[in-house]
Amino acid sequence: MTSIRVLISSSALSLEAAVKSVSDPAHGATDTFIGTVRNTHEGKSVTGITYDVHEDLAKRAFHDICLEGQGKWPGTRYYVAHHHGTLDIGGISIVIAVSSAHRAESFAACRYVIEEIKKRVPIWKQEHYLDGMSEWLPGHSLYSRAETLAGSDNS
Amino acid sequence: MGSFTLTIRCFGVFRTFGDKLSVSIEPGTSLLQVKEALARQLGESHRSLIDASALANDKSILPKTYVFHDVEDLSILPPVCGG
Repeated sequence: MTSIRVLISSSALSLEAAVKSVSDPAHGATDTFIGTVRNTHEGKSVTGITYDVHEDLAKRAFHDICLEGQGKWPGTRYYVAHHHGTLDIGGISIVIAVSSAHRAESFAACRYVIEEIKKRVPIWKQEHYLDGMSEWLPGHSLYSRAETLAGSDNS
Repeated sequence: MGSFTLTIRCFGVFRTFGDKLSVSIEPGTSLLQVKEALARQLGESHRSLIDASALANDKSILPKTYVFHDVEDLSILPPVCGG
């Protein structure tokens, strides 16, 4: 029974699969996060989002983040799935599930995973608008983190 | 060994330039010099984007001090925004 499962998929993501993956008879809490495509962004009407993913590095980064979570909250179990491809409004882009013996660890670890994903995982969003235009969204430079870690290693 | 070509897969906003970019370099060329070559190739208006982007192989992000000695398959990773 593996305690970390990560995947990138162009098929519909399943909350049921996420919850089942982290179920454990010793765990009394499961926290989930579902990210969905919103119909507006900065005043513009959005019709959908295309998610571009470097699959090898993304899965590696997901796994690293979950391992860090287990370091902070021992015994926690993780499921992280992200969509690759285009979704319409309301489509599910990401599903995270974390289970633990008690609720505090699940809440904290699930929040940790989504916040780290936004800063560290090679995934990009191209928004599509009602007027037919599209735009790649800005984000976090991967070198910001790499340089921070390098600085920590030197101290 | 003479010059060789790095093939760089494009992701995110770099897909507007195609699926792949190519840069011809000499052995001993640094990562920062490769970025400089990309800025010349794609245009100065894209320099800040290239500066903020990472170069990676399929296992890890390459440090800015990385030096290329042979052909490698690379990816250019613009700032990320998953979730």
